[in-house]
Amino acid sequence: MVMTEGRAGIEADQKYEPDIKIRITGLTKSFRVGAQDVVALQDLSLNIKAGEFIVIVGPSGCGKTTLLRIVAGLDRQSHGHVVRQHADPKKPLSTMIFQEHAVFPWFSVEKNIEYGLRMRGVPKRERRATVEQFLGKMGLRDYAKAYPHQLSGGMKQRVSIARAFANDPEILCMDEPFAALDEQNKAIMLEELTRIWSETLKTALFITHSLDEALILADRIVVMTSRPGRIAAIFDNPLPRPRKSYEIRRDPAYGKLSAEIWDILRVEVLKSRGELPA
Amino acid sequence: MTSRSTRFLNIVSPLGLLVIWQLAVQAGLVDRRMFPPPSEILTTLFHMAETGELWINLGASLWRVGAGLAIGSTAGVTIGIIMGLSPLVRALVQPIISATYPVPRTAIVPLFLIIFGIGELSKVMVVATSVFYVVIINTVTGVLSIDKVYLDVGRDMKVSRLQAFRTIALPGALPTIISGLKLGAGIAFLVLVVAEYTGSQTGIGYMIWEGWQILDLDQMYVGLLVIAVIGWLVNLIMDEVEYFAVPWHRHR
Repeated sequence: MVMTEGRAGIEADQKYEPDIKIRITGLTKSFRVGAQDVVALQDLSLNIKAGEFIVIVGPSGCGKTTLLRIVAGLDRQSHGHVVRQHADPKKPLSTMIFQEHAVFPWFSVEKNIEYGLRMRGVPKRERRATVEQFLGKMGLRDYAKAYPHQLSGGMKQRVSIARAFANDPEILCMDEPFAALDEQNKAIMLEELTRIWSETLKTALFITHSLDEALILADRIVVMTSRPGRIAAIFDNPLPRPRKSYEIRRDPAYGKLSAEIWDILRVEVLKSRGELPA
Repeated sequence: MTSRSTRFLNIVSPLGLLVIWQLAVQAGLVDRRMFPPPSEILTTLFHMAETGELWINLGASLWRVGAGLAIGSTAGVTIGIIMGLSPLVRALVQPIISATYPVPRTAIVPLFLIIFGIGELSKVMVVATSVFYVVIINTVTGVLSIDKVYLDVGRDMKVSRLQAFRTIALPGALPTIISGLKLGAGIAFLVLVVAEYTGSQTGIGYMIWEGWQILDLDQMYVGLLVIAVIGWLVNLIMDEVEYFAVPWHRHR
């Protein structure tokens, strides 16, 4: 077991808990905008279990993306710790699925999917097999040699998802991957994502504005406050898996949970708009 | 407009111009001593081709342009990408580029004659320098305009610097780099001809200059015609290079 960590190091008194994949403690991030210090995240703590699907919702500008980027190791925190357990050092610890337009326009679909594997020197035959597998899983088999500009927005995002899963990380970080898709495409992509995720044991962090997405995907839903971002509430999602986007809406628990989350989220959105005191 | 009819017009329009010229001379509308008709220029061209004079001069010019393009664009692309990726290198090199860029490339010919002598090297270096400027400026612009998310994907996948260079910076900037190379190829001929006016006994520029000095206007026009045709061919070749090197950016 390898522990990777943020800049600040592991607290001496932290006890070993094998279940916890990501331990976020007292995370604060501030940056300078002009002459002012803006606090994006303030003293945020959260434990995420191995294999758990966490969805983070919150008002615009609450620091969701900042949180995700720090967990992914793309940004650095100002204070606090992020400790991630790296179970198998031969595999990458985390991979990010970005908002949109993140597939390389200069690589074909198959070259995009195998990118992570190619960059870390996985032999060609092994790469071939993985690419085939994900072309099939994501319905991209006919487009292996196509370039992204020949694909629709939904197909591009499938390539993005395939690229991340093919890289086979232990943690998947997703930053509003479906924000630019239309309703119908989104519904289908959500089902595809839950299916492909349930076949693996990956820990997932997913950011969204959409409560529907949260309820379909999440084991736990984290609601963040308006800036500076803290945790307002955490909800367990009792809806049974496998979940189909338009079927789970019939479950009375769906409406109840949705309303409960919105009650809290609404207050934070109003605060972020300056309509309620922070 | 379809791509085929576009290509057809690309060939027809310069030929049409030559036909108009020929007719204008024959109708006595222009002075034949100053503007000999294309038919006469072509006769001189064939004659110079037969004696071998044309090939020696053409070969000399093409070699200088080729060598200059190779040196200038290799240096421009390499340094340009490093500048684009590293703010430190950019801060160091950018002021030097900006300060020397406004000097007309043709004005450095005498300086280069002093530094590199009157041999081949001075001409090649004049071409290389001119190409270097347009290529490096386009390359830096190209790298800086790469969407940050692609570099984030690279960092997220833990790629090395060399891998980021090869798989993100270079292909990301390639469309802009090729625009720079196209401009560079055009400028290469421009400065070469000027460099060949002075301190050279071969080359298309020398042919033009000598044609003027000994008042052999047919020879001068042959030089101009050859330069025009070569410039046009180089453009066509660069379009093909673009088509095959940037398959994700095809407009036709």
